[in-house]
Amino acid sequence: MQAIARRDEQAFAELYERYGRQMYRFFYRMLWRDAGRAEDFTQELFIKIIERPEAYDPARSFVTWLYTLSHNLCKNEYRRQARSVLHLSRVQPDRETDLPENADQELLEKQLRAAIDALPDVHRLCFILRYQEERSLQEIAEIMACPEGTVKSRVHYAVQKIAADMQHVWGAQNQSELYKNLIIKYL
Amino acid sequence: MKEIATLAAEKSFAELDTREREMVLSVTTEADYEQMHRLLRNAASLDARAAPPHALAARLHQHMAEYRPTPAKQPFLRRLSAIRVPAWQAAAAVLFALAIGQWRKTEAPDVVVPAPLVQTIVRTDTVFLEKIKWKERIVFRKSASPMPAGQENISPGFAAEIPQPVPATHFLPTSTPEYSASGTPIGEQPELLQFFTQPGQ
Repeated sequence: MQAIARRDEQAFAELYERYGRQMYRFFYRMLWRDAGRAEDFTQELFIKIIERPEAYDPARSFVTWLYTLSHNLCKNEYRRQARSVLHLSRVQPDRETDLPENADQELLEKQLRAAIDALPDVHRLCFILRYQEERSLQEIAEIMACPEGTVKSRVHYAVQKIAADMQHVWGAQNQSELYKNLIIKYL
Repeated sequence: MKEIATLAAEKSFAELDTREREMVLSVTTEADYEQMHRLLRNAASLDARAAPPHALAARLHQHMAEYRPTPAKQPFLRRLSAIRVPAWQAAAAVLFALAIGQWRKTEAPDVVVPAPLVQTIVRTDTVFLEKIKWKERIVFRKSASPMPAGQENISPGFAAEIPQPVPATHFLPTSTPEYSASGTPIGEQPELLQFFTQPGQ
């Protein structure tokens, strides 16, 4: 970041190479897999880095700072969305689709996406950061500026909700009990 | 020990070591663990292939190359102190200021400030206050008329206050003026009578 502050183009190229795809993927997941919007937000994020490199506090983890910026951008977008029409893809998962136990991977992913999309924003963010971006609970707490215990309970809720939504996919009758027991005891 | 959810996100049941298997089996069954593993593994790989377009990288590199940061605006005093002038100009300015000061001191006439005239005008005004007092006066008249019949039982104190009729002996003898007819009776004066009466009566 210090090199970027000195207008070192090579340093920026390296930074983008390292984090560009990761942050694009995060936006893609957070913004309902809208590729155009994910591209715009990734651009906005890196433009912020170019124009205000001094905003980065070297005492903090750089990745956590990147995710914090991205999270704030997403929050603004959620507010805009809430003011306008509800996003079309933010609907409940299609429960009418009765998948067999050996469901096709593509259909399984479709159901899983729908279950993740159906989560409230904060829980979706927690789930994505924990299980898709593979961030630790401590990092997520720092990104979301909330206590670690809150993150834990949100992740717990998110997994429980997804498991409940996926229950008919798995065909397991005791799925919710399983996740409830597992997560309450060990998460 | 790792959380089971974290473990399920990383390893299938077959990949667990003996200790981990024991731990998992103490809580749930192998099938349930496998389902959870499948869910979290699929979630992790979901949309993992999403990648930004190359045009985005090109645009950002171009922006990085072209962007020139605007200098941050500094406080006025700092900007003022950053101004540099040649020493001779500063010295000339000081000398000029001194000369101007000296010139003003010598040229300025003595201005006598006249004492302010104070004129006092005393005005007296009179205010009349009119006050009207109403008085009510009650006058009692006592009469010496005799008591009407049936009122003889008045209190003795009040009876004592009633003035007694003066006895006739106390009156001085009065002389009745003798009336002497003088003048001419009106009947004897037809002109006078005619004056008081209407003709024909």
